[in-house]
This record gives sequence, structure tokens and C-alpha cells, in this order.
Amino acid sequence: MPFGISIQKSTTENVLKEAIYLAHDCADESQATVSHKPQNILAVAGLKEKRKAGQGSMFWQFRPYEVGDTPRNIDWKRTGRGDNVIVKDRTEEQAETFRFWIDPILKEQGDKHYESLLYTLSLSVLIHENEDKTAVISKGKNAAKRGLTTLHSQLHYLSSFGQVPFENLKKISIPKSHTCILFSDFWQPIESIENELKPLMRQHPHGILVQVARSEELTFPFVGRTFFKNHEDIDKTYRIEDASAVKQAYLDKIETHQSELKSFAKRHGWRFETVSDAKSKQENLRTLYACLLHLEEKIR
Amino acid sequence: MNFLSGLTFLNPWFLSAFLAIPLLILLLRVIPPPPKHVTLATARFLEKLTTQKRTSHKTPWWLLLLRTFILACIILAFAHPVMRKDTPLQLTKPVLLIIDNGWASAQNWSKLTVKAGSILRDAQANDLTVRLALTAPLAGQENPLLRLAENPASLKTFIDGLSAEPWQGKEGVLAQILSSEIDESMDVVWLSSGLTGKGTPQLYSEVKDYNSLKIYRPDDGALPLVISNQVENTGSDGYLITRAVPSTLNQYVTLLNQNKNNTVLSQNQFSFSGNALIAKFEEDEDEKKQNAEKIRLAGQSTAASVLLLGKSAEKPYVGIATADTEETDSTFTDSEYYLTRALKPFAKITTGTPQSLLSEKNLSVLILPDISTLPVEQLDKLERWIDKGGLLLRFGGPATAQIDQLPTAVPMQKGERSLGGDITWENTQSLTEFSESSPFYGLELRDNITLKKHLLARPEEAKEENIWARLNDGIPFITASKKGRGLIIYIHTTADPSWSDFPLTGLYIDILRKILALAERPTEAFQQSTKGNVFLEPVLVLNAEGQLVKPSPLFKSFSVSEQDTIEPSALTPPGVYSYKGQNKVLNLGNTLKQIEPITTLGGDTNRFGILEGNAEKDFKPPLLKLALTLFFIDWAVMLYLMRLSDSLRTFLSRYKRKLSLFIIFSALWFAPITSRAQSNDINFISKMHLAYFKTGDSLLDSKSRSGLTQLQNTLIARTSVEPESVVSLDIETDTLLFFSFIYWYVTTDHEPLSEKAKAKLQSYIENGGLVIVDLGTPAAVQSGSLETEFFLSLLDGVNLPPLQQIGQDHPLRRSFYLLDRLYGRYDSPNVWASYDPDNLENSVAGLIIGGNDWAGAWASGTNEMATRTGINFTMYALTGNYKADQLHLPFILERLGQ
Repeated sequence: MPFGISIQKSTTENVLKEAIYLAHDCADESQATVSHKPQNILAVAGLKEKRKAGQGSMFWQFRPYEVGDTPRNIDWKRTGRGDNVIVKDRTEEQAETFRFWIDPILKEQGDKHYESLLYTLSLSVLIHENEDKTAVISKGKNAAKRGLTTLHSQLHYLSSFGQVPFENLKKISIPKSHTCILFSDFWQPIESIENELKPLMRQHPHGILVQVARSEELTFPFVGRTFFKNHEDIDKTYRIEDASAVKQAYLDKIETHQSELKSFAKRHGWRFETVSDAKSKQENLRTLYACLLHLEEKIR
Repeated sequence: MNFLSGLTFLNPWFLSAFLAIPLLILLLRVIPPPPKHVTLATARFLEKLTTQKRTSHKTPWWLLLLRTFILACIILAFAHPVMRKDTPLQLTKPVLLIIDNGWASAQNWSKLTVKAGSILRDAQANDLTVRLALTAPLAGQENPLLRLAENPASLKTFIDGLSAEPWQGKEGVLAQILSSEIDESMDVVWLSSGLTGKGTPQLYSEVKDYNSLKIYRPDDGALPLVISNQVENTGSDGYLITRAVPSTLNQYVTLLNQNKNNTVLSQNQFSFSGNALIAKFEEDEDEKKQNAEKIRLAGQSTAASVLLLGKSAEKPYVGIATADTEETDSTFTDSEYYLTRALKPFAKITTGTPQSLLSEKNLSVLILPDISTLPVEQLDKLERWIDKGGLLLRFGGPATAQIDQLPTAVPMQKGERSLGGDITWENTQSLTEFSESSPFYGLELRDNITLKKHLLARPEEAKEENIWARLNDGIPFITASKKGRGLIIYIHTTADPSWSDFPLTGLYIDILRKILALAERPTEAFQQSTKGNVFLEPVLVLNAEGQLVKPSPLFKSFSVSEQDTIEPSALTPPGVYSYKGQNKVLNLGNTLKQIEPITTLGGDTNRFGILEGNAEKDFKPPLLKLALTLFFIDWAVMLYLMRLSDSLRTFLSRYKRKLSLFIIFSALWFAPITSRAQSNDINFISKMHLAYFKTGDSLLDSKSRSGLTQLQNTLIARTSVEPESVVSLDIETDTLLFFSFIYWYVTTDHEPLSEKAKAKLQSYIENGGLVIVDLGTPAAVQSGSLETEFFLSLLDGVNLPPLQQIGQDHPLRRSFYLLDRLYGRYDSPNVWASYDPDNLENSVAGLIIGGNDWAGAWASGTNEMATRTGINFTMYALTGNYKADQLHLPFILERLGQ
């Protein structure tokens, strides 16, 4: 299906809605991961502030002085303006930040891009639930934040303009503490993938490579005389006189590629996951989320 | 195999296409199926993965069989198999084919020709020559036709062009011809109308000795009926219908009373059981009787099934003038009384003052009894009215004897001559026999007319042709003269019996009727007939199917003296004949005294066969239908194989183009082949197009085309006429009626025209088209020149309208630009245009002949005057004589706000 139609069909609002429901579904099923059930979607989307004061460096709130507060915490500027002594609270701890990237190439294969977008947003919702922040990998400054606005801007950024192509990924400077989650189909030759990703992966000890694939790419159900084409290179045609005869050789190649990717990720402490439309979206999201939780534990 | 014995293929060479079927299957097996095209992100992984094995077509064998069968059906259908219903004739010797083409065959003509076709095919199969003999002479010929022995195939085209004739056959003459022309060594086949004519027994005895003689006749129920008005039982005014079929057969006949436009005025149905029937209409109202033109037998289509009544369809509109109301004079009222009594059955009469009558529309005759003066403007109006074709009938009287300011036929003397008085020598005068030049010639002088007074013409100035009636002493009594396109008739006595007893006689009525008859074509009254005899010319004739048509120029006129004895023949077909208001109707039915079926000739009944309507069964349509049905089944199977049921939507989106192709294809399959032509026609109707006739000379054609294209551009630039394109027409095949004018270069090497093309041209010119004939050089445009003679021979058989040289005031010269000449490459004033002599004022030319090479000048693009001439041509073709309409010019200008 041409990609223009899929984007039109699911307007940005629709993607977001579907992502939120998907996340909701996922949270329902794995209760352990989310502390309590959200009362409404807005709550899920992270509009309710539930963080506590702590040792962190980030400002959280002003409040009147209470017995037991250290004088170091008094905000003298605020206190000087009024009668009460005002204390400046800081956040308890530094939240984890996850940065998402979707390969712009996927845009040509509408379904893959749509799914990537969906998983990104669902994961973001779940991450926000966990008091962590999300951001996208982009050229300009991109503050990691929480909340519906963040989701909106992520969605807007990822679906429309300024995505970072695969080759430029190494040029983007990303704070070391951030965890990267990269969505692509990763069907490029393994050498070029290694070349492009190595700088990023060396900087960041943790991350996930998510391969978004189609089931026919993994199973090769074709028979008879079939001519294949790439999305990128339209002029090049692979003429297969009898598709079923090459099936096994093809599957072998695919398997090799995937295992190479897996070992490459592992070497750098990353994870490699494949999601395809052979499984349901919920299932795929759960896999990704589990992977994420696993990663978080490792970071701590 | 008995079933297949009658099966023949009309296009047997098409069967060779069967050889291609195995080849096609082989090709299908060898050629790989069309590949599926898949876009796959992982296509890169297929690099270097190739297979040696090729996929062959996976069409199941039964589908292949189905398709082969469809192909076989189509090939068979185009080979056009036909099955004969009748058994072929055993022909061994050259064939003499006698076809009865007399009036009685019209009813069954298609059966006759179908049978003739199958006989010719038999002859062809046996490699025999055929001689064709026709019983009825062709139009304009004396004797029946016997053709020389010829190849059946060429004879077939002749027979296809043949039709039945609306007269009787001359079998007797044919028998004589045959007795000297044919010998024993022939097989004789006679396709009979089923009825006998006068000479049929003679013809039968001539051919009955041939053992091989076979006579085909139509079924009894298909034999024609005959209607005549010669009812022998006295006192009955019905119509006699006769038939030749056995009296046991029960038939229903419907008698129709039709007017000029074939509208049925009344009808009556009869059950027919004997051999003859007298039929009548139940309600015979006067009006219907007056309007009826013919009596027709419904469902019959022969010349003998129509009885022409020979009445003038429309009554002339006659105005009788009375004096102004103030000075009522008994003379006028008396005249009016006698005139009205005499004319009422034959005319629509209105009375009034001359002034009011002249402003009546459609007035064809104006009668002025003893009116001698009119106001000047009335007089002008009267003269204009006569010039336009009015008929003025004047009577003398005391007033006109004193002073006469109105137009007269010949110069008149003042005063009147009195007869029978005390001091006169002569007592009474009566009329002499009418001379042959008079339209009254032939009227019977039953009563002696006593004249007391009458007016006198100046004898020295009256020409013989202007005197239509004389008194015994040679003094003119009725004078007439032409004025413009109208007629003035002067009767030198009163319209009432005050001066004579003429108004009391039958002759008064006869003469008035004759005068009324002249009103339709007043100028004809002075056309001289040849040999001093009056010849009645065919006006409308019946064709073989009983339709009234215009006569062919091959038909002859006959003299009045013959009119009671003449019978319908190939020279004088049944129809209406007329001259100077005299009418004669020839009805075929009246000459057919008794009709007998041909079986009464006796002889061996085995010799007679029945003509079948459709001698062949055509297998082409059913085969094509079968192929089409199978084709649809094939498609359904294909759709199923493509897993249509999975997702109709995906299929539709993916195969939208193929599907629409399929729909178009199947639509084409059903649509008649003419749809393309029709779409062209619609284009021709909706937009204006310039057109020229293809001459076959590519140089001339390109000249016409480029000339008209230049003209088209100029028209678009300068006028509101925007021609869509320039169209070249083939005079033989194309439809002409969409084009307002057609340009035609005629050179002496132009191909001769077919009869069809001539008829087409004739109807185009008659129905408002304009043909501009360019003979290429001015020298060609004069009678006697090679080109003109050639052009006239080219159009031989076309009734060309009369031509006149284009005068200074011809609308062509001012239809757009004011031109002093019609410029082309030459500027000769020698350009001729047709006109309508009966309607001089309003006639629009249908034919313009010149030699100024207009298209050549247009093509050059630099000749301004020629371009203007071209624009004038176009405007004239589109607006006709609009510019000549000076009568309405003030109003037109007023409307234009000037």
C-alpha cells in the first residue's frame, strides 16, 4: 500500500490515540511495571505530577520553611520578597532519558514507519509512567521531557520533518547518560550498519536496535516467476524465474544477517529485537517494553 | 452426413486460421507467464540467487481447451457457414433464368431474389453460364430484357440491383424473343410472381417442353390483391378488390383512405372469402372525400394495391371582390352569388373589398367582377401581387365599359358591343371550339350561349396565344396574358346573367374550374406543347411498392387524345399526369381485369415449387454468440483463479486498467460498427465545418483543402462564423447533409458518378445545400465548352435547377462584403447560380457554377478580394437570401437600433 494513504488514514491524532491505548493495554497486562492504574488517559499521558523532593539537581518546587530543613536549601531571593522563609526543593533523583530514532527510509514503506511511530509513542507513554523522560534524536537541541506535549512534539517531529538519516546518526551529539532506541529495518549490508552505528554505540553503553520487518521478508512466501524490486533502487530488478526454488537460500541469508546484527549489538552491550506483522502489535510492544525494563535494571 | 450436405462456407479461406491454433497453444506453452512484480525491502538478498528452471504457463488443460474452443468458434463464425433449407437444383446445362419482375412480384421480391441467388450459386458450383430473362421491360424501355449468357457471379450483382417494376410484364413479347434466342440445351428456371398476365400462357407454352423446367411461386397467402374503382354492378360506388387465391382461404383486408401526407382519414376492415369483394367506407363525409388522395390496401405493397383518386389535394384560396359597403350595387351581389355558387365545391372562397382581399395571405385567385378603378396604392399592390404569381380574373360589365384603369390581358376598346337589339344585325353569338393553344381545349360546348353584350378587345394587338376563347365571328371572348409570374384572365362579359346566359351554363363552371387549376402554376398556361397537341406529363408516379415518387426522366408523357386508352407501362407508369391544369390518373388496378394464379396453367405439379422467405440458415450469429458466452465464462474462471474472492477491492485497484479495457472491449463487441461514424456525424452536426469533394486528383484536393483552411482562418478572424475544420468528402460514400456548402473542383477527368451519388447530390441541393462548382477557368463556363459539356454529362440524371448569371443585385454580392465581382484567381463575371422559378423572390441557390478558381486564390492567402468572396460564399450558404430581403430591411435596421 502506498505510504501516502497510510499517513492520511491515520492522522497524527489517530496514531497518538492508538499508541496510548496500546500502552494502556500493555500496562494492564503487566501490572507490576506500572505503580497504579491511571484513572484516565490524561493521567496515563503523564499530566499528573507525582514526583517527590530529593537530592537531585533539578528544581522542583518552592515551599515554606519547616523545622528540620537545612538552611542551605533556603532560597534567599524568594524569602527577601516576603515575610515567610521559602525553601527551594530539588528532585529526588535524576530521571532516566530515552531517545528515539526512526530511520527515515521506513517512510517509503508506509506500514513500517507507522508501526515504528506507534511503538515509539507507546513506549514513551510507558516511560513517562515510570517518571522517566523521552526525547527524539534530532539535529537541534531537544530537551527530554514528559507529558502529552512531549508526545505531540515527538510525533510531529518523527512523522514530518527533519529526521536524521542513517548516515548522519554519528554526527549527532547525544549526552552519554541517554539511552538510545533505534528503529529501522536494518536490511542494509552489515558492514555499513556497523560503520554508521559504531561511534554511537561506543559512546552509549546501552541501547536497543529495533528491527521492524514484514512477515514476507522473513518467510518469503512467493512462488513462480516473480520480479523483485527495492524501495530505494527502483531501476534494479531481481528476476527470479522460480521463487520457491530460492526460498531456502534466501532464508539462510536473512538468518545470517540477523544473527550478525545480534552479535554486533551484543558486542557493544546493546540489544537487538525484531518485530514483524506476523505478531500482534500488543505482543510486539510487550517484547519491546520488557527489553526496555531489562535495560533499565542494567543501568541502575 | 446428410445434415452437413447443405452446409457451405461463404468465406472458406478463413478456415485456414485453424492451422494457427496449435501454433498458438505451443506459443502459450513456451512463453513464460507474465511475472508478478513485488517490491520487497530485502530484495538485495536475492542477488546472485538465480534458477535455471523456467516456469511454464500454469494454465490448466481444461481452460486451454475452453480457449481453443472459443477461438475455433470465432474462426468458424467468420468463415460464415450457411445451411441451405432447400435442396439444390440438379443443373447440368446452361441455365435460362426467367424472373417475373412485373407489379405482382413487388410483394415477394426479396423471396424471389433470395431464390435467384441460390440458383446462381448452384450454377456457379456446376460451372454453368446463366441467361437472365425479365418479363417486364425496365423503365423507359419497350421490350422485356434478355441478357446474354454470363458468369453467375456477375449476374448476381445485376440481380441485386434489380427491383420489381410497377407495371405488367410483357410475357408474350418475351416468349417471342425466347423462341428465336434459346435452344434446347438449356435448363429453365422460372421465378414467378404467382399470377398470370396476358402473355403468361404464351410464355409457358414456349418453355413447357423443357424437361428441366421448374417454376417457383409464392405461397397462396402471399399473393397480392388488386384494387380498382371499376365496379361492374351498377349503382355501387365502392371499390373492387380482387384476388387470385383459392376462394376457401380466408383473408382480412383493411381499406385505408389517405390524404397527400399519407394520413389515414378513414379505414374499414373486411373479411375476404370469395375472389372479389366490393368495399366501401362507412362514413363518407364530404371533407374526407375532398381531401383523400388515394385508397390503399393495408399490408399490401404493390402498385395495384393503391388507387389514386386524382383530386387536387388543396383547394385554391379565391377572393371575390365586392364594392365598398357604402355604394352597394346589386350587380356586385349578383356576381358574387353566381361566382360563389359555381366555385364553392372547388375552392375556399372569401369575399371583401379589393383592399382587404389583397392583404389576405395565401390568396391565389382574385376575382374582380366589373370593377374598373382602384386607388393608386391599391393598384400598385394589385400589380405586385400579380407579379408574384397571383391570378387575377376579371369580368366585364357596365362600369368597365365606361372606364378601365385596371390591368387587362390585352388592350381593350371603350364601350361594349350590343347584340340582339332592335338595331343590330347579329342576334346572338356563341362560342367556337377552343383552339389547341387554349387551356380550355377539350372542354365540351354543350349549350349554346346567348350573348347580349360584351366588351371588345383591340383585335390588332391581341396575339393568338392570348385569346383563349372566341365567339363565332372570331371576336375574342376570353383573353389572358402573363404578367410577371402571375396571370391576368379577362372574361369579356359579366359574371351574372345580365349580359349573357353564360353564367347559367355548365361551361361557366368548367371554365372557372380550369382557371382555378391554373392558379397553382399560372405561368404554365403559356408553355407551348409540342405538335400542337396537349401532352400530359408525369407529375407523381407509383413505384413498385405503391409509394408515390417523383418520376424518372425516362418516363414519357402522352397526349390528351390517348388518355382514355393508355394503360400503365414501362413508359407511362401508374401515377398522376398533368398539364395546364388537366389531370389524368393512371391506376394499375383498373387495367387488371382478372387475375389468376399461375397454377391454372396446368401441367405437371412437380414443376411448381414454393418460394421460401429465407432460403438459408446463417450460423454466423449463433457461433459468435456462443464464443462470447464462453469468453465470459473464461473471464469468470480467470477471476476465480486469481482469488478474486479474497479481496475484491485489491483486485479492482490492481486491475482497474485491465478491467476497464475489458469493459470497453465488450462494449465494442456489442456496439454496432457504425458508432465511430455516428460520433463523427454528431461532431459534424454540432459544429460548422467547411467541406469539399475529393476529386481523386491530389493536386486539386490539396488546393481545395488549403484554400478552405485559409478561408476557415479568415472566417474565424473576421466573422462570428467559426468553422471547426475542413472536411474532405467522398461523394459516393459520405453523408452530405451536415454541410452548409461543399466546394467542388470539376475537371474533365472526374470519375463518373454512381446513381446513388447523383441522388444524394440532388437531395442535398433540393434540401437547402449549396454546391459551389469550380470549373477551374472562366473560359470553361459557357455552353458548348468541353468542361461544361462534361459537367452536364457528369450530372446526367440529376434534375438541375435552372441557372441564371449572377446579377448585380444577387445576395451573393452583398451577403457580407459588397462586391462588384466574385473574385477568385480570375474575376470573370461569368458565374451562374441556380434559382427557383416558382419563387423568385425567396429562392436561394443550391448550385453555383463558375470558373474563377476561388480555392486557388484563397490558398494563396494574399488575394484580399478573393478572401472576401469566400466569406460572402459562406455567409450566403448560412443566411441565404437574408440580405435580399429589402422588404423587411427597415424593420431589421430598426431592431438593430440604427
